[in-house]
Amino acid sequence: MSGPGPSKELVAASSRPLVLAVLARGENYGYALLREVERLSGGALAWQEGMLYPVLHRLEREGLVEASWRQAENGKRRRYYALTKKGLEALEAERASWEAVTATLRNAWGST
Amino acid sequence: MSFDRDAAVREWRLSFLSRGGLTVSELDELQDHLELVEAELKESLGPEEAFWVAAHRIGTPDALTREFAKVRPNMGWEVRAQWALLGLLAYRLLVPAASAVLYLLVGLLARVPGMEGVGALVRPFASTASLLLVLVLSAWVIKASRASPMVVDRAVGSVASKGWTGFWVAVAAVVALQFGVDMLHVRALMFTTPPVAAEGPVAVRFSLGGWANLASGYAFVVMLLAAVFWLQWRLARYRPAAGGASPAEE
Repeated sequence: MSGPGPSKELVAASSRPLVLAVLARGENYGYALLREVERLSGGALAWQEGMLYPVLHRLEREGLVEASWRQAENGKRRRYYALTKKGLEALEAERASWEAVTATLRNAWGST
Repeated sequence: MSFDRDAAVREWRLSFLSRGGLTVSELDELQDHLELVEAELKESLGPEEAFWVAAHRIGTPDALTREFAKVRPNMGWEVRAQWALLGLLAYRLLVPAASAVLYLLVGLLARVPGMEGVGALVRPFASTASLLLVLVLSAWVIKASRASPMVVDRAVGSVASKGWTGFWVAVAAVVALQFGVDMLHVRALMFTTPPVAAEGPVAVRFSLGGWANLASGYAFVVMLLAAVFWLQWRLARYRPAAGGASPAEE
């Protein structure tokens, strides 16, 4: 199923900074958030769609995102997520560590 | 055969609810997602295919329940507590039933000429024997039926998912069972005590203490059931405050 591409573990690990980064662009709901991740990754990151929600709920528990039920344009109730101040700080921290990792990898791959 | 989408969605929701791992509010959210994926797929697929492919894309109930469980580390303890309470409930109902059956047997034995003394001999061991009987019989039933604990899990989940209606139906069933066991017990006592039985059916009378004792027995059983349901609902809608979803499911 997974084929070539990032391993399950890597996909799971990157889900947190990715969700935070997408929400930093503005509040969003699960489905649209997932499509946005898909677009950003060019389809390279395949998530089992439902798995997004445990990630979101964990972030909510940690106080990094805030969720609220609201009326969607079709009249249905939809749950929207927005980044909190704490979430923004967490995103900065995530960004620093991921950039450190990618910079190290780039150096290692580039210097031979 | 036409595709009944409402029934399929109900079934889909139940398959999550009966596992007890997702809150109703989380299910509402997942269903919203399911419908969006369906709408996207309907451009190229029929309604039935679109539903099943969307459900597949969302993930299997087992896998998703497992992922959600990781967000809720103490859920395991609540499940264990629920099993303990169910065991206590079964004990409350089954052991008296078994002991009533034993008493009836002893009474029958005492009526056989030449065996009169056997009843008096066996009676002190009746409660131990009934406990053993229940343990051996239930072990045998579990082994013979090859039932997995999921059967009990699903049954509790599906009754609890009916909300208060499910609760009251379960209370009625348990009270009726307890009543049946009590009746059987009274009969058995009357049967094993020939001097009392000889005086007629009114011989077994309850004092005020006796009534209080009986009432507390029923209250205990209902309390156990309420605790089982409370845990189930807690497991099924873990964070009601955050979701703000309606407390009643369906």
